[in-house]
Formats: sequence, C-alpha cells, structure tokens
Amino acid sequence: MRLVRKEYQQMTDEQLVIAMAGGDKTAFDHLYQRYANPLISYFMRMLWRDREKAEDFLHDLFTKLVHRPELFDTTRSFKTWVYSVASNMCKNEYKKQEIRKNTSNGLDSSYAVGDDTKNTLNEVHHSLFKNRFEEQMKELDDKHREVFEMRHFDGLSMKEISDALSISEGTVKSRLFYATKYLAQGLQEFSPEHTR
Amino acid sequence: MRPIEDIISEKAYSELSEQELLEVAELAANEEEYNQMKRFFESFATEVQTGYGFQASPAVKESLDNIFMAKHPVIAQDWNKEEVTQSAPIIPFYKRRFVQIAAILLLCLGAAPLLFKQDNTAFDLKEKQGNTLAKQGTVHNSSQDSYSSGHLSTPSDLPEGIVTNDKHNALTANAKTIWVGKLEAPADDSDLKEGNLSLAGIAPTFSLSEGLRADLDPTFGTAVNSSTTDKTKHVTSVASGSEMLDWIQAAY
Repeated sequence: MRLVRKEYQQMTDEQLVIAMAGGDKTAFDHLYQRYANPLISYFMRMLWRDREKAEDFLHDLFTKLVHRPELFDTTRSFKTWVYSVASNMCKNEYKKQEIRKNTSNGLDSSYAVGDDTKNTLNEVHHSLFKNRFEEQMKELDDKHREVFEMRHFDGLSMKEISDALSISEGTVKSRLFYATKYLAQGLQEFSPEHTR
Repeated sequence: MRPIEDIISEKAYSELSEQELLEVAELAANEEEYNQMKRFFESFATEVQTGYGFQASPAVKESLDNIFMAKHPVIAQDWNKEEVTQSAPIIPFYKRRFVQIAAILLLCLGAAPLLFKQDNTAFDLKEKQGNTLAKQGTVHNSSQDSYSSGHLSTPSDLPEGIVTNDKHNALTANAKTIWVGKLEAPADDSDLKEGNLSLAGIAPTFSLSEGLRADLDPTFGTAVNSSTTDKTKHVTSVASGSEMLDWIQAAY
C-alpha cells in the first residue's frame, strides 16, 4: 500500500488544490500548513498588526477555497493566485476603513524577548531599528510597500508579484527599487558601520 | 538571473561584472550608494525579516476543518490511513478464487478444440498421403498392364499433374496437348528376331501441330521436292506398320 500512498510533501500546490477540491482532507491540511503562516504574516503586516483581523482574513480566504475551489485556475500558480486574493481582500478592507489605523500602538506582539545573555545595547539597537523601519514603511505608498513586502517577507519573485498584483514586471521592479532606496536612505544611521 | 538583492548582499562593488553593474545601476548608481544598499540588506535580513514570522492560531485550523467536513461529509476520510487499509484488505482481482477457477476453466475449454483439431489434421494428412500413393500405384500398374497387353497408356489415361517415378511415363500436361496418337505394339516380335527392321511397332500415327512438324521435318511446307513432301505426308497418314515398311523399302 505504501507504493499507492500519495506523497503529499512532493505534490505541488496546484495538485493539492485539485485533490482538496475532490474532498481529500490530507491535501487540505498540507495546503494549510504551507500557506497559513506566510499568509497570516502578510495579513498582519497589511492590516496594521491586527492579529484578530489577520486571522479572520486567513479564515475567510481558506473558507473561500473550500467552498469554491473552482475559483482557482489550475493553469496558474497557486502562490500568486492566493496572494492576489489576499491583496484584494486587504484593498477592500482599506476602502472599508478609509482610514488606516494602527492597532499595534507601537508594540510588536511578535517580538520575542531575548535571553539575558544578549547584549542590551544590541537589543536596543534592534528595537530602534525595527521601530524606525516600521515608521519608514508607513511613510511609503501602499503600492511600494506591498511590492517590497511581497518580495522580502513573502519571498515572491518579480514574476509572481507581477502576476499577483496584475502589473508588469517592469513596474514591480521600479516600485521595488524605489521602496528599497527609500528605506535604505531612511535607515542609513542604523547601518552596521554606524553602530559598531 | 540572480536577484539584485543577492548580488548586493554577496559581492563587493569592485567584484561586480559589467552585466551585474548594469543590473545594479538602477538601484545604486555609484559605489557609495551600493555600499549603503548592502548595509541596508544586511540589517534588514538580521533584524527585520526574522521578526516577522507570525503563526496562525490552532482555532483557525479547527474551524476550517469543520467547514471542510461539512462540505465533504462522505469523502472527507483519509483512505490512506493504515487502519482503513488494514481493516478492509483489498484483494487483487486476479487473486480472487472465483476468478482463478474461471480462468482455469476457460483455459481448458479453449485448449480442448485445439487438441482435437490437431489430431484430425494428422489423420487427414495420413489419409491423403495414403490415397495419393494408392493412386500412383494404380497408374504404374495399369501402364505395365497396358504395355503387356500391347497398348501403351496414353497421357489421357494419366491424372493431370501427377508425375510418376518412372521417367518414361513422366508426362506433363503440355506433352498431352500434342500427343493424340497411339503406339501400336506389333502382334509379335518376329521382325526383330529375323533382323528385319520393323517400325510397325514404333510407327506412330502422328497428327502433329504444324509448328512441331516443321521442327521435326525440315522439308515440311516446302515445294522443292514435292515427292519427298508427298512421302512425308504419306508417313503422317500411314495407318499401319506394314505400309510404313513398304514405303521405306521403296525409298532405299
């Protein structure tokens, strides 16, 4: 029977979606395992660090997938499709809220408390860097920020970002360059040379 | 193509190739900007990216599982679980007893006619060979009988297409078409005993086709020696051996 048993680990996302659409619970579990954390991170970043909202969005996204798997075009990449859906959900939320709110109140819930052996100066430096980075990110346009986050936090390629956001690769590239340059200039004082 | 971020993170500005310099140019126009980018990516990688790994709570998964089970109530079972596969072992089709019995029966039924057919074929072949040999024997004997009784069997007596072992009796269908006469055996062989040539025994009454006659008789069809021609014609029309002998004696 081992020969017949499906190797879910080796299956592509698209194959898992097809299996899941046919009622394969294990396929669904594997798909969730692959995308739950990256998507919750994406929603957290895009929705002002609101964990509750981020989890709601994640739940909604997978519920859509369970109820209407036919929405996914199997000829496309699942990764780009799921990020495009997530991006559209966030944009709709922006429209709904109209005003972006920041629920994190400057506190990072995900920030792990370091052990006592760590250099206190380094911790302070990290914390300052992060705070400054987040401020810089907020100052960025949504379109630049989104591209930057997709590239550096979600690990999407230029092609995948262009597919997910339905923009050309050239536009993705220019937005990414702009965001990177903006952030690099803003965080210049935190570069290793200045701190060491 | 390698991402520019990787190139910036891994290489110094002086190590860049021409192609890489062109790629980097949009992000960093000179060495100073390049180094600035390099420092940014280093800090970003160590201090920001690592702190952004959020995890979804198990409650979300539980809720989604319930939704999935509601959507697929019957087939939402893991058929690959060992308990499932062990409790209901799947026996391959060819290993089922009734299939095996049916296969053996089918094999026997299929093979029986073939065996019978082989026996019949062998029997028929033997019978046919026997008939052929019997027929040949009959022909040979009859020819001997006819010779002894003063008659040679004509090709018309032989079955078509059969060539006997006796060379002299081997006649083909072609020969049959030109052979229309009969060889008359002499009443006795006294002529031969007395040393007188008697062709009566072998003088045939030929009725050959014109082409064959021309081949056998060079004077056939020519008017140069009419008497010879007449005589030749006479040979063809001679009815008995004595007449033939008279004609030959007169000629010499």
